[in-house]
Amino acid sequence: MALFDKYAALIGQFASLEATGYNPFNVSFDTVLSPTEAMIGARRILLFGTNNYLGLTYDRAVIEAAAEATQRLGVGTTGSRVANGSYGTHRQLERHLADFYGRKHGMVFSTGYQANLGILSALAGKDDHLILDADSHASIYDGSRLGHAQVTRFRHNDPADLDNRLRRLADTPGDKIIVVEGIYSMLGDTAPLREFVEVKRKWGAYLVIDEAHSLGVLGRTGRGLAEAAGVEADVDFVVGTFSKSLGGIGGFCVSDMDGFDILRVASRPYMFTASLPPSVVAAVTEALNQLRHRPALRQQLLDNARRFHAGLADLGFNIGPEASPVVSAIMPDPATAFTFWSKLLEAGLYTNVSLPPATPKGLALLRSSVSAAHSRSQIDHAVQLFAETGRAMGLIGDQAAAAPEMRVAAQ
Amino acid sequence: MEIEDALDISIPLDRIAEVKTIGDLIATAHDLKGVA
Repeated sequence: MALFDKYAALIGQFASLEATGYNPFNVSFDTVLSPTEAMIGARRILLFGTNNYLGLTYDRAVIEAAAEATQRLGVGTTGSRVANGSYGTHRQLERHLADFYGRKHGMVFSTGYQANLGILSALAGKDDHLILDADSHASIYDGSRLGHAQVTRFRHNDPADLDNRLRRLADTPGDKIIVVEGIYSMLGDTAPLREFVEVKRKWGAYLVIDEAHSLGVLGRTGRGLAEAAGVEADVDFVVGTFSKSLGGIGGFCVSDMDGFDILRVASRPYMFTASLPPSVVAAVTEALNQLRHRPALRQQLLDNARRFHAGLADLGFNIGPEASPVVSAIMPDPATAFTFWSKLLEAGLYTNVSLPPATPKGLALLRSSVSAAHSRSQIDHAVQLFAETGRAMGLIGDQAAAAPEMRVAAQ
Repeated sequence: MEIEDALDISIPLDRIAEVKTIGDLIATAHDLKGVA
């Protein structure tokens, strides 16, 4: 038996996707032109699947900061911060993040995935309990397993079920740590954070929130759902990523918890990973500066999200409940999702196909993400392509969509 | 999750992976409820 025989079914599925010439898990852009456009061969593609929420990947100040840091500090750090030392800019970025969140401590990781791996595996040991929202991202599940804690799930966004889970653990030794997300990446819905905080207080648990998709999107200053819900003081740890609103790569955690810095020598994903290169640290630092000082970006993003969400809803697509930058159309089955996705790409629109086990409730999703950098005409063009494709496939009716301004005004 | 509610238990994820038969489920439920 060959080593990869265990993947026979997966290999078959992947090969059949490759044979179509449109494999959603193997897309390669030949040139990326801007936050909203790329080229595949000679075709210009409108990007609606990149999580580039604030469109900062081509911001001039961000690019100049990255270039200057590369010239001054080189292209890489060649080692982990624990074994090989930090650069001053790593520490500066951590201070900027802590300051932005009004917290005492900040810690930077090399990816968002690793931030969850590093924090959750270190916060909860073998005799502790992690209680996860069932729709949590893979990095939360994987980080939970890495620390050997007892891991249980509660129903997605269900404070009563969370309460039940904590009641069952009331007489069990060990710390209890609740993990939720700000905006959920598949359907774009938000957590009922105030209700979760009440449950947390009732049972004396700790609360971790992953603001990966809500940083730069929600809250008066863009800090995320905890700020928007007015419960930041009750959140013990905020985890986030640099690879969405901040346009780079990396992750972080901020907290007021005394003794936080022990995590630097307790968290294996932090200790044993090479640190972020100077260019990324500089770019993220400048992107955070842009996020803080250009609230108009956030407003533009939310306006665009409402316009796109309303456009798809008006056409009759079954979409997520909230107008967030993540807008997913629920497809009847995976085959339809693949076909829809490939027809959109053929027409020049890039979105994402999301399938189980990455999706909640076994849903097949055609997932889009909206950017502040999208123009009105780009959003309306994307809605038009959804309309044409949906009608051609018999997924929506033939009724004319309302004018975009009327849709948004109705929200 | 419905089974967990019916029995008023929370089965940790690593234990769920071990449950393959009704007998496994009964043994796990007894263990989690502290029944001999």
